[in-house]
Order: sequence, then structure tokens, then C-alpha cells
Amino acid sequence: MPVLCLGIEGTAHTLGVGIVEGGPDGALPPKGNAPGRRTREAPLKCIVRSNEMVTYVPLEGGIHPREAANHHAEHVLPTVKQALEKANLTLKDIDLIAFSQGPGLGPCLRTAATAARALAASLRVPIIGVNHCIAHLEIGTATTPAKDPVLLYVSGGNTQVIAFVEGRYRVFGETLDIGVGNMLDKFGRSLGIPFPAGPVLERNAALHRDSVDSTIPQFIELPYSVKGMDLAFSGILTAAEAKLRDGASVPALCYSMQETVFAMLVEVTERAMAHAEKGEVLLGGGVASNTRLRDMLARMASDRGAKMHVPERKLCVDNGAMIAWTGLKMYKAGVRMPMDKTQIRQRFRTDEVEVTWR
Amino acid sequence: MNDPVEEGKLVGRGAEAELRLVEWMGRKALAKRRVPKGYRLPELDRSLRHGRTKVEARLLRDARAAGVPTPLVYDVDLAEDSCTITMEYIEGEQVKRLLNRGSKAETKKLCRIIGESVGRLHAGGIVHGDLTTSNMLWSEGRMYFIDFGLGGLSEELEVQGVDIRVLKEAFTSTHAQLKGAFEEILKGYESTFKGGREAVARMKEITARGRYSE
Repeated sequence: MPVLCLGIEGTAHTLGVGIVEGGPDGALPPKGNAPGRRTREAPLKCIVRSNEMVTYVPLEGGIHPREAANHHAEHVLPTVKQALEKANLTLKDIDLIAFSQGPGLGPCLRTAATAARALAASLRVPIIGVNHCIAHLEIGTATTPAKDPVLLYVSGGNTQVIAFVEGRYRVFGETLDIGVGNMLDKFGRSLGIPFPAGPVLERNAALHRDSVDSTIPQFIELPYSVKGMDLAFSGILTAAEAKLRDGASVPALCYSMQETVFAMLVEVTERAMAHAEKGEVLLGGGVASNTRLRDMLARMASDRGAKMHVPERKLCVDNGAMIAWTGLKMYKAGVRMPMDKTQIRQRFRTDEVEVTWR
Repeated sequence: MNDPVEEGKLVGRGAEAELRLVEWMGRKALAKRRVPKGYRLPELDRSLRHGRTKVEARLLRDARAAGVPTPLVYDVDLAEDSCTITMEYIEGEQVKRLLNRGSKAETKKLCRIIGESVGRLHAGGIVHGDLTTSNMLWSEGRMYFIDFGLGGLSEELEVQGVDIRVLKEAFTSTHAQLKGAFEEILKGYESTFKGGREAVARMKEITARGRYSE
């Protein structure tokens, strides 16, 4: 059985290559094996041997899918080499290739998939396509104490609240229009802040929070758009841009935007936790780096007697290790993918995947 | 008094409110208080709790007028730290639980009623905003709708489409094992709401617009 998996991530801005080793967990097999019952294999332990990434940054404006794909094509081989070096391995050691099959931007996905197919074919090892959103959850439960959490997955393109119910990862809530990170980037662009805008907005917001200037209003009301467990962000963006044109204070707007959209995210996550009856919450995606969002989610969790977990930063953002780990887990559970089933899926839904590995 | 109420007993805690059993003018009643949320900014928190309590009280009344059973509202307290609605106590069971153990015929009947009720709301110009089977109670042969805090008054196709999309997403993730049940809901919906067919078409369009649909 394979123990070393190389995963290639390429759904949007980031090209990532990670190598993960599936080690024995050290946990004893379940007690009380009745005669005739198959002894369960000890669960896999996730050992990240390397996790390298490069990110395409557009010169101006938003992401251009073809340019991002060209960037990935240019960097995929050097990044694979770098990942092998960091892990102190050679290509011959790799037992399995995994890649991000979707959802994401077509040209980016195609570049990662093509590289994965070429590697698998030349090494004569199996290949597995992985759902990118599920990989965020899998790497979270593998590297934090979370066991059966609700995942709040927030990145540029994605905003979903996911939990495992009856054999699948179900989407409890999601954005009805754009991802929250994408909205923050767009707002950043209207302020002249380059991609990614999140960290700069966060600094502005913190400055405003701590400012003692009483001539600037503390909080500017923006639309609060929660529909059940779903969210919409484009209306907030439009409203914020209008206030900007009317001369509203930039730091006050950054602050108010963060407070509003993060409150929406935390609210739907709490609702999903109550609805799905789960006592843990996991935060993932690039926006998970935001300290204010972490604090708000942690406060919500502790107020309801739940636990919050966040993977380390490099495993939170789009990365190859999460793809490698999920591919390895799937393979160990018996999932096989012939080459002709490895087409990319731009709109790959989280709840389509039948989860046989839990 | 034949059924003394244990004053103030906490009987439930949702994502945003605490439910307590209270006595109101000698009657057994339920006090729903939207509790402050420490994670969000106090100003935002106050405006959300206040606004939703007000909307909910109004829609509980309007929904009943539109032919959908709801608890009777006895009192609304909008004082800053209260945000409490005192309402009739419905001795019933969550439709979510009933559906998870009901027979096939019973499931079909319940789904039909869910659809008909949502149809009546929309026909009456009301959108619920959080249509999940946790927010429907079955009591003495009637289906009560509760939790109108995210709702509003609207006859816009888009708003109605979003409303049933919320129902679809919540229903199919909570009751994944019930095959064909959502179609039954839609049949009921279209039977009581003239614009139902159009709203269902809009729901599909909204879904197709989304980030993840194929």
C-alpha cells in the first residue's frame, strides 16, 4: 500500500506541491475484537514531509485565469523538485499522485491535472483527483484535535459551511454570489490596495478600532445579508463602494466591513452547528489568517461550550499537502481512479463525493 | 391552577435565542429572548436583535392571517437588553424529528403540508427567511411555523426563489435519506401559490448562478 503521496494543488492563484507520508498512528486497534470480526487497520497518521507553494499575483485587477495557468505551468516542475528536496526524497519514492480536480478555474485546474497525469504515467503509480473543499476539511481534522467539526471554509473563491452527515460532506450554507475573500479583494482594489487585500484591510480596521479620533463614526452600517444559512456579499460591496464615493472614512469602512461580514460568517456557522448538532468548529481557507475572524469564531464557540480549531497557516491556505493527504486517505479506503476519470471539474460540488474513507 | 409552570425554566436554546417556559396571565407561555452575542460588535448586535424581534412578532401574526398556524403572540418587549417575544406555548414535535422516523406515507403527507404552508406564506406576501424543518412544529394535526426573525414582507420573485432555495438546501442536507420528498414539497407549494411554478423556476436559476453548480 502506498505510503508516500505527492499532491498538486492548482485551483486558483496558488500552485502547491506537498508530500505526505501516511504513517501508523500508534493508536491500538479497537478493543474487544470478537472472533471472526476483521481487525481494523490502525488509522493513518498524517506526516507532512514537505509543502511548497508559489502564488500568482496579478499586476493589476483581478485574477486572469489563463495568466495564472501559465504561471502554474512555469512553476510546476521546479516546485515538484523543491518539494522532493525538502522531503529528502526522489521521484522514485513516490507511491501515489493526487491533484485538485475542482472546484476552481478551468485553465489552472487543467495545468495541475496535466502535470499530475504526466507524473503518474511516467512513474507508473496510481492517480487520484481530490475535491479541493473536502481537502481543506481533511487536513484540518488530521492536524488539529478536531474530529467531527463544522468547517467554515473562507477563501477568495470559496465560502462554505460544511459538515459530515450521513456518508457525505454536506453544504449547510454557502455564498449565493461571490466568495468572501474575493469581495474583500474587490473592495481593496477600489481603495488601490493590491491583491491580496485582506491583510491591509485588517490593519486599517485595527487602527480604526484603536483610534481615539471621535470625529469619525466608529461603525458605518452596511447591508447584513444572511438567508437562512446562506450568505450574499455583492450587495455589501456595492454599498461600501457607494459610501466611499460619498467620502466616508476609509479606516472606518474597513472596520465596518470586517465587523459586518465576519458577523455574518460566524452567525451562519453557529446556526449550522445548532442544526447539525456538532460541538466543534474548524476554520480553513486564506481568510482564516484574519485575527479578528478567529477571535469572533472562538468567542462564539466558547459561548456555546464548543471547541474551535485552526490548522497552521501553511495548511490553511491552498496547499499541496492537503491534496496529498486526502488522496492518500481515499486510496487507502479503496478509491481508484482510471486515467479517463481524471477530467477536471470546475464546479465540483462538495456533497457529490461519496465519502467511503471515514 | 391545574398545570403549574415551573417559572423561567429553560426549555431550549437555538443558535440565537433562549426559550423559557413562563406564565402569562395564568396561561402557560413561551418566552423567546434573543440573547446578546459577544462575538459581534454591540451596536450591530443590538440592531440585529431588535430588528429581528420586531419582524418576527409581526410575521407571526401575518402568517396566521395568511392561513399558516403560528403561536399567538402575547407580548413583545423591545427594551434594549430584552428583545423578548412571549407567545403561546405549542406542545408539539419538530418536523425534523418526525421526518427522520416517520413512515413513507406519513413523510409524503408532511412534505405536502410543508409545501402548502410555504405556498400560503408566499401567496400572502410573506417570506420566512429560514425555512428548515427545525422551524416547523407538528401539534394536534396542525403544522406550526416558527422563527420568522430572518423573514420579511415581499412579493418579489427573487426573494421567494431564495426562500425556497434555503428550504431545499436545508432539507436535502438534513434529510438526505428521503428520496423524492422535496418534489412532494414543491407539489404542495405550487398547489397553494399561483406564482409557485415561476418561483420554482427562479430558484433553479439562482442555484445555477451559484459558485458550485454544474
